[in-house]
Amino acid sequence: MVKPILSTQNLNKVYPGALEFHALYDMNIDIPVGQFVAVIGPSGSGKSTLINILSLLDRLSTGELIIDGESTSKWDEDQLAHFRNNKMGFVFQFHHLLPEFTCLENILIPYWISQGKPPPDIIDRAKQLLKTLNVDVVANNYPSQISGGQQQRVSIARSLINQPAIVFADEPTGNLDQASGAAVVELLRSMNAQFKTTLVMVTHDREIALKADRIIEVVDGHICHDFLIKEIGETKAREQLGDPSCSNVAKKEPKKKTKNKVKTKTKRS
Amino acid sequence: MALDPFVWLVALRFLLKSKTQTTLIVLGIALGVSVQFFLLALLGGLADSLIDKTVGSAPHIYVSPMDTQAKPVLQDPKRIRDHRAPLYRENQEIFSWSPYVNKLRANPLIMAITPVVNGGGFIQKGGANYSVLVKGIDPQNGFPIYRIKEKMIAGKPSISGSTVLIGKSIATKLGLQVGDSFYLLTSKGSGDFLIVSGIFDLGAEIANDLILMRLERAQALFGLSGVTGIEARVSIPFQAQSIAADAQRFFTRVKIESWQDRNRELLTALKSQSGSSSLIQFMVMVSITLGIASVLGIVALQKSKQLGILKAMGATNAQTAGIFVVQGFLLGLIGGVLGILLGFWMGVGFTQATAKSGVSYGLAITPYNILFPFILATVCSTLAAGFPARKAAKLSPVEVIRNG
Ligand SMILES: Nc1ncnc2c1ncn2[C@@H]1O[C@H](COP(=O)(O)OP(=O)(O)OP(=O)(O)O)[C@@H](O)[C@H]1O
Ligand SMILES: [Mg+2]
Repeated sequence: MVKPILSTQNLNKVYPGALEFHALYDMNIDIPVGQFVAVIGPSGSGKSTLINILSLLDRLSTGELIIDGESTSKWDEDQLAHFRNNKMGFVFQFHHLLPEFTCLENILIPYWISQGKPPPDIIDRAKQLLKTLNVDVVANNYPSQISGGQQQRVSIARSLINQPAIVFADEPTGNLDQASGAAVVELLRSMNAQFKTTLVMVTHDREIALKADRIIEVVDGHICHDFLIKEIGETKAREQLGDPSCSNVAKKEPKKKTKNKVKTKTKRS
Repeated sequence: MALDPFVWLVALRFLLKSKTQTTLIVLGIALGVSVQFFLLALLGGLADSLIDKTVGSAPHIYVSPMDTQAKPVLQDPKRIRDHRAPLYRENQEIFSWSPYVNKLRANPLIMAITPVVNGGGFIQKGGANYSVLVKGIDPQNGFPIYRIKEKMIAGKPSISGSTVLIGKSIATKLGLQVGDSFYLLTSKGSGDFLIVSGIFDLGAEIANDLILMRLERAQALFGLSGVTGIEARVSIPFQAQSIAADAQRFFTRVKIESWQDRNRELLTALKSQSGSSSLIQFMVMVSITLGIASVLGIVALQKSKQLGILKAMGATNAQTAGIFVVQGFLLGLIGGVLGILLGFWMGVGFTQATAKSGVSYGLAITPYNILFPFILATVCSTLAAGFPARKAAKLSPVEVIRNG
């Protein structure tokens, strides 16, 4: 079995405050190196909450997040920031390019943050990424001067500049039409194949999720399905995702834990 | 952090991207700095010119007999007073002046020192008496004290025998020219014919009622064998007070005073003026600081999305804060440079305007007057950025990512 790059143990997230909200319940997830994981689920189910915790942007409430075999609970903010910069890439739902910088400059920002002025070979790498993603013509445009799909591809290029071990993408196709959405996922797929980058992608689009290696379905803060598409086959996978029983998971078995396994498993209640 | 190229890159971009905002805030700082600089230069120039009028061509240190007031010779109160007897003696002479001269001359700041004989006199013209001051000096050492060579307006700066220098007021009032002779009647009743070898203009009215002659000549004229005082010039005028006080500790029979001791009102006036100028400067600085803090606070809010993304991508809290500190620093620096230029321009305009109306004095453009407002503006705006910087450091990237 491939060693997990990311794993959670009984991960819980409770948003504090007056309207205290328990967003994630006892999640156990192992993500092996190089896997392309799609996180799917209805709106408000906790997908963003999960990916934000996995990508060290947010803190979990109880449980453990283990990265490369190391617990992250003791890391301070600077360590977390450093790790995000060196080992992680981000593609956000709303593009989130900086309007003050050209596309090429935007791609180089993660390099600037930790290493300062990029040398020519890094600039070449950025240009190569733009070419691979077919947006080299807009390299010197500002984000406001290009289309949403182009912005999303520039974001993908930016997530890859520091050659991260793992890339997180929260609804990378959310704002795109079907064709551009499919193209972006195709790109992520090929990045994953080419650079052996681990990929965690949130989507609410079933067709897009089916392009991944593995699908984790989250409903009301619980893992409802977690399977490898290859193992159960695409037809079965489609069936699973349509399963209406998931919506009852939380109510029926609020304390039930998913097993700490990477293997295919379907949970029925 | 301060030298982190990433921090500088983002700070610069933020400033360049919001050009209007940057321009306005830079102009605000520039105005503040220019007012400060102008005020410092103007008041400094005014003070310099007042002090120059006071000490520019006058002694800085005066040595005089301890008691120039007439005092009774005999103190016995039981003695019946004889009104005809000379009961009062005027102790107005210093007989051996070399100890004082030597003591003062030992200080390297003393540029020139001379014993003097001061007295009063009249010049008669028509039916009127014109009263004058008479000063006997040693020309070698005495001329530099009054900067006579620079102040000559006619004739030659030389005195010998019965040739003397006279002030401009005497020359104009009595119509005297170089080569003319006149009769001087002293307050002691003696008198002599003197010849004008030159005319000087020391600036002030009273100083131009002066007749300069040789020390020996004045001694003879006033029937003195000693001198009435010693005068000295110091290379740094403001040191005169401490030099005088130092020398005073060694002598009890003479009074050693500085120009500061003799011009207390002027110095008090200058001090209160510089005090009120400091208050204005402080207010200007406070308003600059508040302005920058609030504008950068708004920038922090406007750019919170960008800051959140940068943090998500791994920018540390210190880097995010640094972006604002650097912005504050750059704003202060640019505003400071512009402010000094603006201040120069205001200063030139002002001096030209006042020159037309007759009053003229220069601006004091000293390194201090330039650097002080400039450095203060830079430091204040850097510090003012601390508030938005803290705000930026505290910003949580998830909030920004979540809400698009
Ligand atoms: N800061 C917060 N404080 C309190 N509750 C929150 C906070 N953020 C999210 N939640 C709640 O947590 C739940 C999960 O939110 P999350 O954003 O993870 O959903 P999601 O699955 O990403 O939904 P979507 O598909 O709409 O993006 C929601 O019910 C949401 O209201
Ligand atoms: Mg979401």
